[in-house]
Amino acid sequence: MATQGTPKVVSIVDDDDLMRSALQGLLKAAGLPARTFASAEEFLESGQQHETACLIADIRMSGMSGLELQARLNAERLRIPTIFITAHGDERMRMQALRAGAVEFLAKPFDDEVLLDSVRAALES
Amino acid sequence: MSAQRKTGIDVVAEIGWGTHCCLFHETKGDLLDTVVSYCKAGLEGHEFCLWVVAAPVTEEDATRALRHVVPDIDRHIADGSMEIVAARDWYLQDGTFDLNRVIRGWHEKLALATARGYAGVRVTGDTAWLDKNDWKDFSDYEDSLNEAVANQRLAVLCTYPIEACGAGEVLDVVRTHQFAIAKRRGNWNVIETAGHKQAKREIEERKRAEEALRRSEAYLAEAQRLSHTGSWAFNAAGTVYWSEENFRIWGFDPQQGLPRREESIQRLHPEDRDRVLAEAMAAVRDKRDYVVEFRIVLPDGTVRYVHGLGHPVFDANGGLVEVVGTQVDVTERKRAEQEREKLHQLEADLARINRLSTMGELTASLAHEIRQPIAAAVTDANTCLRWLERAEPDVEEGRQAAGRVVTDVTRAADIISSIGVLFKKGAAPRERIDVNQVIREMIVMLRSEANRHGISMRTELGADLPHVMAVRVQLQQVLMNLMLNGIDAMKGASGGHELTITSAAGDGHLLISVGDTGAGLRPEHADRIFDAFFTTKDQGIGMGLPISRSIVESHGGRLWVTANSPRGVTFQFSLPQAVATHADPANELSYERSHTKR
Repeated sequence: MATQGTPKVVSIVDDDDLMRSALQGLLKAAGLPARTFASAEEFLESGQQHETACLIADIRMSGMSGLELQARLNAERLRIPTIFITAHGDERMRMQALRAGAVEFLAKPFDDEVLLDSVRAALES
Repeated sequence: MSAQRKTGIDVVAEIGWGTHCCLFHETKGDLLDTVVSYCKAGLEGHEFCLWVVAAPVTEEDATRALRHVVPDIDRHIADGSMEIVAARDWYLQDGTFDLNRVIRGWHEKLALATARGYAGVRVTGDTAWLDKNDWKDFSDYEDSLNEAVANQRLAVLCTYPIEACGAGEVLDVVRTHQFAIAKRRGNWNVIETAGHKQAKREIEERKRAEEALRRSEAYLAEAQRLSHTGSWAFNAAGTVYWSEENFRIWGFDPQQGLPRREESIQRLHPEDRDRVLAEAMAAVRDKRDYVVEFRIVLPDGTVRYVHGLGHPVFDANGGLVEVVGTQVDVTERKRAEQEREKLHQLEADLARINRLSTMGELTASLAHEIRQPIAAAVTDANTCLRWLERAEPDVEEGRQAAGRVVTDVTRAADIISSIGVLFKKGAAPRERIDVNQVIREMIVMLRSEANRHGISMRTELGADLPHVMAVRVQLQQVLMNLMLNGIDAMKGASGGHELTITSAAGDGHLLISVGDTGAGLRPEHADRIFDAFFTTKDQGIGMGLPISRSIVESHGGRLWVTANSPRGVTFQFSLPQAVATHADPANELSYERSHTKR
């Protein structure tokens, strides 16, 4: 559903400050610009969801969870390729996320190469 | 039976039922005066009265004399409450005197009178008809009559014309009656013999003794009923005695008499039968008392628990006389014990589950807390490598990434060191606590757990210990952790197991210890057991001791471990006495600083 010019921005939504910085730093090292948000609400309010080509989100956050955010975006017909990263994901949660359109589901700590490959794939799609 | 009856005779105001006495009279007037008063008193006492008259007194004489004192005597005669018969018709029915027939006659009258609702039978019989030849037979009759009237609602007054009696006859008469009275021309004499006095006293004493015995038996039966205690006796021939309560315990009907030996053996629980019989036999053989616990199964399937006690009795030659004993129905007590045991088991299970779930939650939350900064550290370290591994390494970016790694790892370390702070969270209220009381509660709670593994628990608790200020549940948690650790350590080990819990007052603090006789601690583990997630147990999660140490330290105390000789370990912890305050604001602050929002 791309409109005028495909946005190449990656958005990171995680309520852990260390994790946000780490993800942003990694993408920067890979030459991929990224914006960070401390919560799903902050992300939705920023309007950046319309500019986002790839979303990296934590699942369990205070306030709206990553899965709820995904459902909200789907409801708004914003099909953003989403990569979930969680500290305690189980198989059920993983299946739910993938069915809802997630492109990757990673457990912390994760393999940075796998994450970057997924991000690049999302940006090129 | 002891009800006293009025005699109507001046000199002997009252007599009891069962009295057999005699009257010597000189004149016809003496006889009539006495007997009409005697009958009048009987009629007034609602007794059936029988007067046997003999010449020279006729039935008409008697009726006429009675009418003087009992004006409506005809009515009494008509309704059968007063009967006047001639001696020949009573004593000499076939012209002969038959002792047994006459006595039977009195008893028939008594049965009839009782059936008709009279209080009893009052008899007077004159003996003027007696011939010297019949004297011996009649004297035997008088002798027998004493026994015949004893314990009956019968009173007999025999009248003898004094001029017909020689000295020998007087002696016979006095000997055969309980007492004698004489009326000679209006003057009274009373003759009571020493033998009869003695007999009377003995009867009264026996009555008193019987009464006392009945009372004491009633009290005993009541006591047996209240305490569920039955008593019994048996000898070589079989069962000799069973108390009422014993019948109840065994479910036999006392009306059916003593149960046969096989019948009662049949009711012993099959699993207990041989043991009980063997124990009783062994006790008799060894000439000693025995105590035996067993079960009875009633025909309806009810099971009773019985505590039995037997005491063999031997004669001077060592021969068995009998075995006497008691049996206490302890079913109720047993049931209560089982309930209590079940409750303790439940409490211990609950405590264990509670401990495990608390641990589980703590672990999950700690794992999450720690995983976050570690994941960040891994990513930052990888990023750092990316910058440095470029064809043209970007040292500045690499330095920043490495800086983030330091921050990440510091966060992880902070979390681990702040576990103890979890116990300060929520500011649980501290109260004055008697440490010994908490120890006793924990022992109660864990007793069945210890029993299950054959471990005994021993305490050496100091007396009058000062209180401590503590959060009760946290103190409970420390004790439970240490005690369960001790139990766990001894479960697999061989030999006698004992968990020893002590408390003592030190200088300004209390010292509590929990010692086991388990496998002990390997030296290389000694300084690691208080580390989080370090465990030597298959099922352990390695949080019990760090948490316990954190709790103790948050209370201003210390927790440490020492090895026991020859085996096992002792955990000891100190707690300041209640007077001291021991909040640690510095620790509180460092927690606030390092604690993340989750």
